[in-house]
Amino acid sequence: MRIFFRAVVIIISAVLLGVGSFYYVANGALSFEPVGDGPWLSGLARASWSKNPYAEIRQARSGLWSLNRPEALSFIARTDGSGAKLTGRCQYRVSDFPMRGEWWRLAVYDEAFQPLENAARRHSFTSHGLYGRQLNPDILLAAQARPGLWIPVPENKAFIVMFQIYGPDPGWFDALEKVPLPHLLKEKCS
Amino acid sequence: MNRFLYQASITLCLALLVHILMVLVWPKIEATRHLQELSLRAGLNAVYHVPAPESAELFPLSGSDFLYSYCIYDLDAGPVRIVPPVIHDSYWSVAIYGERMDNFFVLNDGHTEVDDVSVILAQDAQVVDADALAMEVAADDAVGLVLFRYLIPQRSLLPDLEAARRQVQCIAL
Repeated sequence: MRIFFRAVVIIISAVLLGVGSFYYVANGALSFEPVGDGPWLSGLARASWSKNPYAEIRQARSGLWSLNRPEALSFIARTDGSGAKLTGRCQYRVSDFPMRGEWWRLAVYDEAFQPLENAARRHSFTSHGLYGRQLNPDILLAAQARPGLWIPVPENKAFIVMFQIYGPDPGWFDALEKVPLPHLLKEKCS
Repeated sequence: MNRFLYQASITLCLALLVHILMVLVWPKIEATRHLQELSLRAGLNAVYHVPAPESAELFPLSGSDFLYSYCIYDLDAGPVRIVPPVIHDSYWSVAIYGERMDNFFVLNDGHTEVDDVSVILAQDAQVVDADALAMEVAADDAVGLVLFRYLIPQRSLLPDLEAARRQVQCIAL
């Protein structure tokens, strides 16, 4: 009877410990790693081509059907070039877009990765839509309307920027620091 | 003391096994849940054209600059033919995912110059009677997702793109 009791305690403890530690690790947010010195982070789609089981779990939980190599590379930024969190109280300029890769896309999302609602119904630009108008554009992220290429962001709220390169150089997947990423600079704050 | 260490060691080893088991099975459980949610709208081997307001809910990090259509393939009864309408001068892709959300095949506008493209998706043991133009793709899993993405480079092209994606097919053979 005593042995049986001990066995039950061991099994229950092991299950609680195993499930608890799994939940702690798996319940984390999607993990991103810095790329170079700038604000850009990598991690999206990484689970498709790395062997990190926790990344795969987080991706599965998030419902992210990401494209595998060599189709696209994705990066996000939560901060500007100085390390300050992106917020609608400030205006940002994104410039120096890479000319390599088939095309790129710049989009803004809220912190839950949902597209930002705005009256202009605009939350992204792609080089597909811009080339022919401007070869190397400057894109402004601001709460108030701006002339030129402007993406509205919510006033007084944090947001994230996603930058994707479609048809990237295959060598970039193994050397993310070599990817030419655009500059994301804060211009002014209210 | 020795008995305590012995029992603690067994507990830790069992906990590690439970943890590893969860790591191995959980992605499939989550993916199955997502596939079931998607199949509620589409059924199996049938195309669902995602209305713009639903795309963010169904596909995180999606955007209003894309049109999304999808089908949940079920290869239990046989291969499935996937036909993406070809659009020139604009990005489109067909991405096929397995039951663990792993993307094992992508076809895009840069991969083909012909107007008639079709993909025959089958499991290894299945006999495929494909025509010469069809691409044969082997799937490890019987169930998964085919996701069609059509970029909207300019709003003025939306009616044409909307009409084109209505031609997407996912047919059980």
